[in-house]
Amino acid sequence: MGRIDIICGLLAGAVSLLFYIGTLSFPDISIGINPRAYPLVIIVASFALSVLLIAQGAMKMRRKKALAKGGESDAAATRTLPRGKTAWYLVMLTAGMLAYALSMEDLGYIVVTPFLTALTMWLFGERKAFKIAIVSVLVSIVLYWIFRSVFRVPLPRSFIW
Amino acid sequence: MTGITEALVFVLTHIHFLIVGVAGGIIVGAIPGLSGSTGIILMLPFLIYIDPSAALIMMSGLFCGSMFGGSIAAVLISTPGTPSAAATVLDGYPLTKKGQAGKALGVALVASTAGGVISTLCLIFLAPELAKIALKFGPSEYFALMIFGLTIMASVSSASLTKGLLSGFFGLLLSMVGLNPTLGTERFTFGVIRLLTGFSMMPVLIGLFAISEVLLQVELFNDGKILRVSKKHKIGEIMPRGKELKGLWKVILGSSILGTIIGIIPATGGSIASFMAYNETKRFSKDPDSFGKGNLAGIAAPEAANNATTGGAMIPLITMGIPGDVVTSVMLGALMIIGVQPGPLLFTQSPQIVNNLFVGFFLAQFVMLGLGYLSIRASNLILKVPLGILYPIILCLCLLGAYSLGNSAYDVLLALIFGVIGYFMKKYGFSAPSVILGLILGPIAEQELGRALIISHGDWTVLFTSPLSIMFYVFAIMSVTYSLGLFNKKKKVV
Repeated sequence: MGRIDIICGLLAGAVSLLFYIGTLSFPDISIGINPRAYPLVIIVASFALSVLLIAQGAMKMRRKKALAKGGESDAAATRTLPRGKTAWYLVMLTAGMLAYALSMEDLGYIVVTPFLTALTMWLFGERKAFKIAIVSVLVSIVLYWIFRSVFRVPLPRSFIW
Repeated sequence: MTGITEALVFVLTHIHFLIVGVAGGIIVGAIPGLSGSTGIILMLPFLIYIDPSAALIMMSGLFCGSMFGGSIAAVLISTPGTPSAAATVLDGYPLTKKGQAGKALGVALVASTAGGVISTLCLIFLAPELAKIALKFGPSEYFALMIFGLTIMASVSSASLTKGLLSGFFGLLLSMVGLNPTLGTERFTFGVIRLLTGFSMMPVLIGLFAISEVLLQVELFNDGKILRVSKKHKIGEIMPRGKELKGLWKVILGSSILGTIIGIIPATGGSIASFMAYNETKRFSKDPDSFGKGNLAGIAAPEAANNATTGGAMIPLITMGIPGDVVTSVMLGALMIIGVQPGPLLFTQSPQIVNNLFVGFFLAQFVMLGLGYLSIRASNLILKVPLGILYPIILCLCLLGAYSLGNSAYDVLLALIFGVIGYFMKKYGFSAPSVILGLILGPIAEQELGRALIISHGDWTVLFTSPLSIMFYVFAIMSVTYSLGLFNKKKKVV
């Protein structure tokens, strides 16, 4: 967990720096409050917290090393990145959602939704092809009907549907 | 009185929304992994298309229903459906092992209803008075109130205070993207035109709370870490007998009052209330040794307390726009999306919405009693809902919800990005509710700060001259100190 805290702290620090760079282009006008004042308070506090998290991470790593030398294990160090099949499943779902977001306006809601539904069903252990096909098409059609007909949401349609 | 009569007519003509809200709440509460906050987000795509009052009563029903729903999994499979039901496991599960799950759930239902009714009465009588005081706030008092509200982000995080605060500041950073509220100039858009309007609440909420949960559940499911009901539990007799209830009324009343008070205090919530009520009931019991072995008082106390926090938590939310816990933080975001701005002005500008909320909240308790009875009968079925169908529907609803507000695939993409961020945040102990708090309260704090300084011609001391402002700063310090103490205590236990 220590290494993860350091990585998260570095990322948060980088975001704070990015926002600090953003303040450099602010106009030099002041109406009651300088436009830089409030953002700078937030940015400095975020940066300080990032440094604190990095320090806490380093301390955790040092403690973990000391425990390892003494032959003990650190119970807090269990949350790691997903591995193997689970990691692939997570990548597949994220890629599926990304493809969905990028293609829904071109291909139409009713065309792309069954694919994402089917993928999610498969990732949750459903293996019967017929059941996957029926449920994914039904879910998509029912939601399409509710949003398009009842709530009048203009869900994207394409030349296919 | 006319207002209340009108509200009663409104709620009765929109009772189906209340029923759907309570039923949805019971179901999401009962399923471990889902909670009241996720439930509200899943309802958002529908809420934006209905009357704001109807949306508000639907959310209230869901809030109360999820509190009771959490006890179903707690009693039947020893896994609290929501964090607030954690204390219910202690005496609920032993009763299931004795074949009396129905009685345990029946007591939980009656206690939840009583807790909800008592806290609703407090909401009805206290909220208007508090709103009258809040109407006198000027910009500097509001700024101080927002600072107090922001300190809640320290306590809604569970793993680490640093991570909770960092999450909140991440929300504050995000809230600054777009236009400067005083000058109207562009800031932190980094050349991306889409960012000129900032981050809209809907995709951020959906991503951080719901999509991240689907990703997390995929991981847990494939790692075999999701506890499923493998056998049918014997439900047995459901409603407690009159004699049993007679012995519990003092526990229910005391725990309900305790829960309401804890609910009113921002930064607390159902889980703290339920454990406190459980401990106090055990401490004052004539037979403390029977606790943990299936004592009905050990179920009634936490359940009355956790549902009593709902009405209590609504008081600071609707009178001052300050959320009391995770669910009300999400509710605050949802209210803004449906066009309801909580705060004292709500009482003067839209009194009918407030009256509808009061009546809806009150009736929600009785709808919960009826639906709760049915859900106990169907509890084995609810816990057996196939994940392979449930989560695909949740995911579709999330993406549709993200799309439907702005009719834009950009929002779907944004929800996905925040979903991935939320997944890593949940996994590594960061707090998604803190991000939302920062995102909601940050702009208000900045706007009020700007107003206060414009009025005082740039004199910063104006922020510390009013006694009310000082009171809020003291509350803020107390809130942070309390969170620090809580984290230090947790560290010592670990």
